[in-house]
Amino acid sequence: MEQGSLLVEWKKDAYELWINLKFEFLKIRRSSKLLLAIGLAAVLPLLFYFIPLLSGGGFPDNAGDFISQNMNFVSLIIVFTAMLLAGDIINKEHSNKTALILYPLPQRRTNILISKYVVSLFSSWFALFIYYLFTAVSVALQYGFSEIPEEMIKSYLFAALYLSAVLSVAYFLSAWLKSPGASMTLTFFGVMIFLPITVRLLDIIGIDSSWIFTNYSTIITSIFRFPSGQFGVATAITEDEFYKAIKVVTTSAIIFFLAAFGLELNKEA
Amino acid sequence: MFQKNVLRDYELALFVSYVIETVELSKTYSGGVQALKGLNMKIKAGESVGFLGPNGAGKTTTIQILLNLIHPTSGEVYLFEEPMKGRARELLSRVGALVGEPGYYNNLTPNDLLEYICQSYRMDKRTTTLRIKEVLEEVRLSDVRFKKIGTFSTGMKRRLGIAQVLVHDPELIILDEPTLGLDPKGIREIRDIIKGINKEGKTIFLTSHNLTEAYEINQRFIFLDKGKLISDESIEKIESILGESIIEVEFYKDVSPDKIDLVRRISGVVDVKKDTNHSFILEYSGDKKTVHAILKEIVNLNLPIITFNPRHMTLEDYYLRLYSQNEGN
Repeated sequence: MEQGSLLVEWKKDAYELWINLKFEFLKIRRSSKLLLAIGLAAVLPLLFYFIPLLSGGGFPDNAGDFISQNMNFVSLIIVFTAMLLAGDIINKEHSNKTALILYPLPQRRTNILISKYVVSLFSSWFALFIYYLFTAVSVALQYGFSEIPEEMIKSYLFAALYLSAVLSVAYFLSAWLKSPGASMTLTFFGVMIFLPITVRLLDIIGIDSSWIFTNYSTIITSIFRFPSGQFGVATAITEDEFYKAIKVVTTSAIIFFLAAFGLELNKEA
Repeated sequence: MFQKNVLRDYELALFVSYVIETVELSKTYSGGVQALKGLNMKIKAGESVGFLGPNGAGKTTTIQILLNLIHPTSGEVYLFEEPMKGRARELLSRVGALVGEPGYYNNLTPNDLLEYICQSYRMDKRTTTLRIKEVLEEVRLSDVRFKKIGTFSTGMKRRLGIAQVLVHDPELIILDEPTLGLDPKGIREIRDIIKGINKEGKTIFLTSHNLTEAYEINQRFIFLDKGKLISDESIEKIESILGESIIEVEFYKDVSPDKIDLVRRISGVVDVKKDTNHSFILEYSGDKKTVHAILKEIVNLNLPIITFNPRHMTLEDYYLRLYSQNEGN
């Protein structure tokens, strides 16, 4: 292909990506899903702040234990958000027959699919950010602004990366399974139960399980390097472990995303 | 291939522009079901073509191939005289299509959806606003332009579907069962809109189970059965066939084939076709006297007749005759 026509094609693709990003964002903004994900991400830290405050039950002794308590639920927030925002993102277009509107349009299917992933990724990162923000605000209110640890940013960034991998799994399942209900359910149970069980079983029989990304969910809390606290376990991690975790989680996110892509592009509909 | 090119050049020289052309189009699904078996057809610019056939004839498969939703196993598709392979995105920008009963995003408004569709067709902002207004007026949805689609009735959704097809002013309009599932009022509304589009001179390619609908809208009829084209007739030809006379004859018990052969030999009777076990369709040539003579002969044959109804052939009769002939082949 000539350089000029290649440039024209790129411009077309960039334009298509842009209009689809806007459309996907409009769809997610108008649905209740984003609101639900953000709502849960906001309500949980608020509960941990207001219930001890109102009941007089008392707060943990230090900010570290308070954060540790909140961070124990990050995995749940991540899986719930991914399930909600990407668990049916592809198969629902087929089951609701909206694909019959989308796919005959003169656009590349790849641009539609990339937009879907990007919008759900940014939306879920935003919901996760709300969780961290409300936790930080709670710490500031109870223990003082200076007690907000720097590690929160690092923890958030790793959690966002981990969320990308979970989202890719959800995206893959929504491309693979026909039923939106089945793909959403499998996203939740797969990441919360099946993969951790697989890790444990592989460990028992002496097979290396370090390539399974769910191994590294604990890093989100371990990053804080707090000693064993009142509400949870947070052990320090080495730099090597941290970088290995980044590699495995990133690779998983890419693999599942590409697999979903391949499945949907070859689908006849 | 050489012959085909020569023909295409010749036709171009006569300014015949084909909007759709399929060459030996075949499709076999992964389960082994052969949906299309070498379909050849040509649709000229400005024609209104009814693409008819029973369930499983291959109509929707053809439409899905034309819209690049599925790929043919073999054969070629030309849109606007250009091969579709590798150029679908460009060629489909000149097509508006309503496939089956599409779903809609319930939380969006017609304005949201149509804006996105206009953007997909690279229309500028000013034209987009203008066209959305025009097209929603055309399908009588102007007053619900900013209301959520989830609150719409089936008929309103179908009209929105038509709006979505028309909004970018396409040259070719493909409609797959546009009135399926609608009540009589909804059917009438959609039919009137399509007839209006037809008057604008756009090419219409319509599939329908409803023969009356196709007959009202189209000027040419392509009949498909088991993935093959079995008839391609103009409305004039169909109308001349529909002028033919038939008699519905019903007996109260089974009649042996020998007796039916005797009926077939009655003067004026052209053919006898079995409709159900006890009823037959007699095609005849002649006037009222001939009808009377046929009735007398049947009575003389002592056949257990209970109904004798002379009438003109309908499109449904023609359709059934066509498919029973094809079944026989």
